[in-house]
Parts: sequence; structure tokens; C-alpha cells
Amino acid sequence: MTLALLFAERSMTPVAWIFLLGTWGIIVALNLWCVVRILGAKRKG
Amino acid sequence: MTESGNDRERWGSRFGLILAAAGNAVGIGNLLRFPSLAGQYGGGAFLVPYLICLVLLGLPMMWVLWTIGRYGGMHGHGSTPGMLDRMWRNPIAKYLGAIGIGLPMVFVIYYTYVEGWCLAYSWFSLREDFASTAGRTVNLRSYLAEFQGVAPTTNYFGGFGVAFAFLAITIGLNVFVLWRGVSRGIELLAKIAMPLLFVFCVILAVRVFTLPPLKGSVNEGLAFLWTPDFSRIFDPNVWLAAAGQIFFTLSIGFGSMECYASYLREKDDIALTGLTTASTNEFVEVIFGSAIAIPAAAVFFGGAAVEPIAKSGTFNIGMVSMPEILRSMPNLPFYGTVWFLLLFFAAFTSSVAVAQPIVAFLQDEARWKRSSAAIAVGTLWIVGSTFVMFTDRYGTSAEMDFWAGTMGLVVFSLIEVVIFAWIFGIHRGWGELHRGADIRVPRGFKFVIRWVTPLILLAVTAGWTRNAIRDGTLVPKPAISIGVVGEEALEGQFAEGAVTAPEEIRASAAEVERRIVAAVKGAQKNLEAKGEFTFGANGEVRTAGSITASAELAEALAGDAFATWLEGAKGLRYEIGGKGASLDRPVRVRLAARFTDRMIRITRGIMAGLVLVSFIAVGILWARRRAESRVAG
Repeated sequence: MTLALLFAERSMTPVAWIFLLGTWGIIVALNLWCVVRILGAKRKG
Repeated sequence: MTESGNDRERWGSRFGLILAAAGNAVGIGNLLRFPSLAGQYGGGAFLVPYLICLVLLGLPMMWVLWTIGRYGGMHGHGSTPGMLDRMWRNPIAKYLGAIGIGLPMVFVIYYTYVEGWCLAYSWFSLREDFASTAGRTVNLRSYLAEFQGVAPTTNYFGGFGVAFAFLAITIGLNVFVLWRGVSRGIELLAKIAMPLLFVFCVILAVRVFTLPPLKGSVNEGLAFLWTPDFSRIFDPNVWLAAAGQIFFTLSIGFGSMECYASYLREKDDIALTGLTTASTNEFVEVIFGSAIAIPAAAVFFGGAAVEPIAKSGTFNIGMVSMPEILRSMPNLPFYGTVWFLLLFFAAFTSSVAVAQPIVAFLQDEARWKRSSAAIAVGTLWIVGSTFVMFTDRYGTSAEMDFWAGTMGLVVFSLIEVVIFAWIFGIHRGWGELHRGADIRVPRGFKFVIRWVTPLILLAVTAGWTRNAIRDGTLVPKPAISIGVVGEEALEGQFAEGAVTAPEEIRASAAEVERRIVAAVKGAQKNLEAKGEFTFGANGEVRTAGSITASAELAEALAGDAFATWLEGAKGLRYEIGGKGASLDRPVRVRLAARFTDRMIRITRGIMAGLVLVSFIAVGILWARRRAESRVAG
């Protein structure tokens, strides 16, 4: 219910959501990429 | 002094190393400083310079430091005097590297004091000590000021006893970890503390995002942080703040990343490990840093109140606003302890990392046993931190933070990147970076490391110097604080900065403050005053009784001047439930105006002394090495 309110409220404009999700997305993607490369390197030994 | 790095301690696993390095980078600033800056400097638009600075300053410096560190470690050096001496065969190099011993010494002695606050507040949360109860009202601002010994009152704490106890425990824990060594101490700590830190972040973020709207909503907090104000994007101060934040958050310039890298083997990867360290730090900073304190503040104080909270500074958010929120929520012992332990672990993994180069210097260069090195560092630490605790009312920690934790770091990083790119050579450095690397760093970074990163560091140094001169940071000012006697027994609380008085009152208050400052500077000693006041229907200050003050201060505070200053300069108001309320019973307000010049000079002398001791130690140890080489040859 509360999480639904989070998206329903008007305080966050679409541009703000783009900045938030875009930045979080970049950071998460970078972390995942690092994890995949580390695991790949480990497999190669 | 070992000439080969073969007999050095090593990390137990790559996972442990990454956690330890991330722990080094993740600190209190990730959770408090980042959201404060993001909100103040253009919201989402701040992220544009922030991410650009991450790519052009943060990541290149990370690779430079890891390369310097592993290269030094290969030759038996875990601290920057030996590392830079190896990279630049010039007598001056080791002395430049000695800055990387002096700066951490200064940094840990004040940072650990703050770390001790976090541990203390987790204990206070567990005991619900700062929760207001019937008959005991806790004003969190006064509570913190009295805990720190800054306030002229003793409503909640009678002295430094509690603060010292937690400081001693904190230093004891740090020394214990250092004494156990790299793998069995630092790595083990990281393997426990970092997962816990992530779990605590998730617990708090979930709690905040599931809070029902009260005075405001989570959404308003997020809007404050993320709504882009594009008009700010060309403001040089925004870029300066972004570059500074990238710098602090990645723990660049302390000599600690280099030290951690020195415990790697010759062909261990540093390119991917350095990048992973930075990205883990960014995960905590950008995601959790924006998901806890500010959204929670918006829920409990309302969207309009978020901006002044963000501007009130890192410690005010962490130690005043957050406790206010936590005690308003059910289950303070759980959520309060989680919040302050989160801050404590973030600080603990950083302080251990910053102290390790000093231990490594004593081990590698002076050939001390690890236990002796840890005890020596611990002794210096407890003496230094105790000095900071007793003198912080004169602004000593802020002074140390300016020189060692701000200017010193940038200047030292500039020295390191210039030696790496221009003296050791960018091509040679690039080859070192890629020895055993799991990834290829894009070639464009060669140009960035050689030109862009040093230029950004130069610009940051120039910008901060200009700001310090403009703001008068270099000239000590008297520290003026107030406290209300018997505050805990009243129904309401006294809020500072709660009202913005009319222009003419603020102008009169500024004149009174000028007179207080002039009186302290003229007398060259601490001055005191006390007066009795009542508070009107909206909580406004009224003189109710006589004002007694030190002779030098009496004229400045005569008549209604004291009340005018309290209202116009301090914005003091009596509040019940966050709203102005009347208080007919006179209360006594104490004012302490402290002469800081002498203590600031002593603090500057201590800092210069610590750097000088590092220079002398390096000179003696290298002379000894030369003498031994001659005998052996």
C-alpha cells in the first residue's frame, strides 16, 4: 500500500524518476558487471 | 627494511580484500554527506558532475593508488615514503611520501572521536536514553552538545566520562584489529562488518520506504534529492562539491588504498579490484545514501523542513535529526541501534584502514614487530583523541578536518598522480596497472590520468583555498554556545534556528554578536554570561531578570541585547510538539564565548609536529639503511 503510494504521489516528477532510476540503474549495472567479471576470472583461474 | 616483498603479509582471499577495500572507502559520509550535498546542489542535476567526477577523478585515482601500492608492496613497502622513493629515485620523494604518514595520524585522532559518538549513541538507543519520558524531556541538540562537552550546561551529561569511555573502547577495538594483522584482523573485520552494514542498510531502507505519510511522505524526500535543478549545473561550486565528495567517499589521499594494495602479490589483479571497490562504495552511497536519512526526514518533519535539515550539516543529520526520527518511531532500541551501529561499522572499517599505513611504516621501515607497532599507534591515538575530546569546544576537530581531512588529501593526491604519470611515467605505470589484470582499462584513461585528473585536483585545491580565504576559515573565531539550565524538567524544548527573526532584529543581533566577538578577542580569554528569560505566546524570547556576565561582556549584553541576540542570531524558540509555546516561568540561559585562537594555534602546531616527526623518522630510517648498505657492500 505504502509502496503504491510512493509511485502514485505527485512530488516526484517523471524527470526526477528518470534521474533516480537511471543513476541507480547505472550503479547496479556496474556492480553486476564487476561481479560477473570477477566470477569469470575466478573460473579461468 | 625489506627489499623484497616476498615475506610480507597477504590477503586471505580476493573477496576479503574487496570487502576490506570497500570498507576503507565506505564511511559516515556515504550515508550523511552525500544526501546533504545532493539536495543542496541541484538534486538530480548534482549527479551529472558527480558521475563525471567519478569517471575523471575517482576511478583514475583508484587505479593510480592501487598501482602505486602493489608496486611498493613488491619491494617491501606498505607506506608511501617507501613507495614513492621506489617510483622516483630522488631524495625528496621519500619526504613527499612522509606526508602519507603524517596525514593519517592527524585524521585518525579526530575521526575516531566521531566514531566513538556512533558507538555511544547505539548504546544510548538500546537503553532508550534519548527518548523523552514524563518528567525528562530530551533536547537532542543539547544532548549531543553536552555529550561532546561543547555546551555550557550539564542537564544530561555531567562531564567527559561517558564520551571518554566510548572513545577508549573504540580505540581499543581499532588497535586490537591492527594488532591481529592484515588477514586475521582487517580482513576478518571486513568479512563481519561489511555484510552487517549491508543488512543494516536494507533494514533501514525497507523501514523508511514502508513508513506511512505523517507530516510529509517518502516521496517528498526523494523529490528533494532527485528533482534536477538544471540552473545549478554550470555553478562552479556545484562541481567543486561533487569533486570533493568523490574524493572523500573513495578515501583517496590517506595512503590507505596504497597500503591495502601492498599486500597483494605481483600478478594479482588490481584493475578490476579497484573498479569493484569504487562501484561497491557507490552502491552504498548513491542507493542507500539517498534512501534513508532524507526520505525519513521528509516523513517526520515534512517536505518543507528537509532543505534546512540537509543544510544543517552531516553531524546534525546523523546525530540530531535521525535520533529525533528514530525516537518518534516504534521500537527505538532496535532501529536506533541498527542506525548507529551502521554508522559505527562504516567508520570502524575506515579508521582501521587509515591507521594501517602507520603500522605498516613501523613494520616495514623501522622493522618493528606488528604488536609493538600497534601498541605505539594506539598510544599516540589515545593521547591525540583525548586531546581532541577535551578541546573540541575550541573547534579543534574542525581545524584538523580542514587541514588533514580536506586540503592535505587533495595536495597529497596531486603529488601522487604527478609522480605516477609524469615521473614514473604513464606508459610504465599503465604496464604496471595491467600486470595480471582481469580487465583492460580503456586507453583513454591514459590521457585522463596524465592530464585531466591532475588538472581537476589543481582546480579543487585552488577552489577550496579561495573559498577558505573568502569565508575567513583560516582566521580563528570565538566559539559561542548556549544552554538552558534545567531544560530536561520542562514540558517543551528550546529549538535553535527555529525562527527567522525580522530583518531589524537580525541586524541588531549581528551587531551584538560583533560586540561579543570583539570582547572575547580583546580579553583573549573565555567569557561567560547568564540571564533569565521567559517565552511569549509563540515561543519568542523575553528578558525576565538580570543579566550577569564577565566584565568584558557586560556592556555587549546589557538591557535586551542578550534576548535580541538569542532571537535574531540563534533563532531560539520554546516549542511544544514542534510549535511555539509560552513559558511564563523564568529559565536561566548560559552563554559561553570561548577564545579559540590559542587552542587553534596549538592544534596547528600539533599537526605540523606530526608531519615533522614523519619527515624526521623517514630521514633517520633511510640514513640507517644507507649505513647498513655500506657495511654490507
